[in-house]
Amino acid sequence: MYARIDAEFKKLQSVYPEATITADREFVLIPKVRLPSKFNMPSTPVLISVTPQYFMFGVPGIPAVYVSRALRVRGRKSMHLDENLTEFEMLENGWVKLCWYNVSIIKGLRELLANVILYLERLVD
Amino acid sequence: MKQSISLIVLPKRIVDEAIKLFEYNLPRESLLFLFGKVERRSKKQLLIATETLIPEDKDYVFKSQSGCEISYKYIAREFLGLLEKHELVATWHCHPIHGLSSIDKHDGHTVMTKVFPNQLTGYYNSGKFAFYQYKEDFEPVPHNVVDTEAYDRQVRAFTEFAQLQLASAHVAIIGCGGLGSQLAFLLAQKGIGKLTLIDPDKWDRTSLNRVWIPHWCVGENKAESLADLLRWRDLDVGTHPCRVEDLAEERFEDADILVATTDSITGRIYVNRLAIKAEKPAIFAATEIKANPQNIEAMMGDCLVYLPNQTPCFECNLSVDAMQIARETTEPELWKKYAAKYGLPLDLPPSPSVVDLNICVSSLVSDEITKILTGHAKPLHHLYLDFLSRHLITIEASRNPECTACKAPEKVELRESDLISTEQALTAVTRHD
Repeated sequence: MYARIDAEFKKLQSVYPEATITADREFVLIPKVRLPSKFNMPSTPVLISVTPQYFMFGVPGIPAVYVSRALRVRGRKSMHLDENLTEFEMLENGWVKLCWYNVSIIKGLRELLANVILYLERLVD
Repeated sequence: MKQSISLIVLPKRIVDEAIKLFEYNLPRESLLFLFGKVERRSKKQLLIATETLIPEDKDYVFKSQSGCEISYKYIAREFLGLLEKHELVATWHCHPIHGLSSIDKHDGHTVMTKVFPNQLTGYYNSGKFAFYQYKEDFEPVPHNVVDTEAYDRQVRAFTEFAQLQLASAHVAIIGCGGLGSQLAFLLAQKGIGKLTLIDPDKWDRTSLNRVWIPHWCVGENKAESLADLLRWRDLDVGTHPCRVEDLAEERFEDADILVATTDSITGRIYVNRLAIKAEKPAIFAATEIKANPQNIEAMMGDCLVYLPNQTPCFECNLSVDAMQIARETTEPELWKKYAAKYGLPLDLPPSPSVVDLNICVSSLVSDEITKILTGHAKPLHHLYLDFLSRHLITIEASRNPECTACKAPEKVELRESDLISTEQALTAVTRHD
């Protein structure tokens, strides 16, 4: 049942050995992802919510990805890290969701994280 | 352990012949041997009868009200020729009691089962008949009687056996719009035994240009109203008025072929994954028209056949619009917020669609289904129809070794240190800050 997601997770771990996954395979946590200097923090944890479809069938989609709510770009809150689009429970825990409706199709966890890093690097406002 | 027989399929002419024989002979027991082929489809095993062997009175050792015995000489003489081309699928008999008698369950019947393990035991009485398979005990096996004479012109093309194969098939159509509904009508006309229709949408007035539905169906669910129309032909039709992604896999266990005619990309991907997992053939069909106010730029049709472990899957060479995936996989309420924030369209404008193109593509799909079920020709993997120039192109494609859908996942073992609790995951950011 978990074969596909576990294989994906192992691939991700080859790049981020400190990555962990919840026992129910709902969340993947990368505790520290380095950030460019335009951010107010040198790094952020990244939490990936593996969607039920991806979880069961590995169907590509746009999974929800969260970073630290305290992140600022050049001292300002980014409009693409939008608290209005983030679930209350996640906000309470200090997460904010990446608003990346327009990223390309994501087929694996490693590719997903590469997209997250690229997205954060390109974030200007 | 012997595999279970799911169904015995026999033409109406054989049933008529049998009833005539049994009615004439009752109350004395008499026998009829049914020959045919065993058809294996994924997890099902079907017996399809096309030939009969009827012993004459002189071929019996004895024949009475409570039993009969056929001479071994007769069996040795008559079976040999038939067994070269067919298998014995059932020994059918009549007697004055309903169901199987204690004598039927005696060794006499099970001897035949030892020699012909797939054969069934059938009985007839007062217009009623049934078939049983012997495992540890006799278990009933459903039968499907097909009026092949009604399909005479088609039988002349494909053979009676092929018609029985079609009649015992179950096709699931996912998406019952312009294309799916035409396909459902074609398959019903062709004599497919069972259809399952899946679509969450309702007909509107604009559907009337491409679907032959009565005007009172406007406002009704597509799958359900279509099923009502198809039932006029006594077709076994099941419906699910919901998205395919909302249905459990078990719903498709019985289906022989999955056909995705939905325009939802996630729906197609879901069907692809189902087909791979269940090792069932699947067909993905679509039409597309590009038009501007001055002229029609292109009219295209597409039919992709997936055969488990033989052809590339739907996703092997797929390139899709990320925005479409995002729209389909994002909660509607959240998408509304995205749309408001980034000025995105809430819904796409309806695509152009004409009945001519839909009928052409659904004909291609219907023929590919026939090929898969009957094996009268090799199915073509990918057909592309340029409707404007009337070109039909066969696309050769190969499997993508890195396809996330059909490549089997590597078997990995996670360490205990890789696993955390949900609470640990959710509170990770506070620890980091």
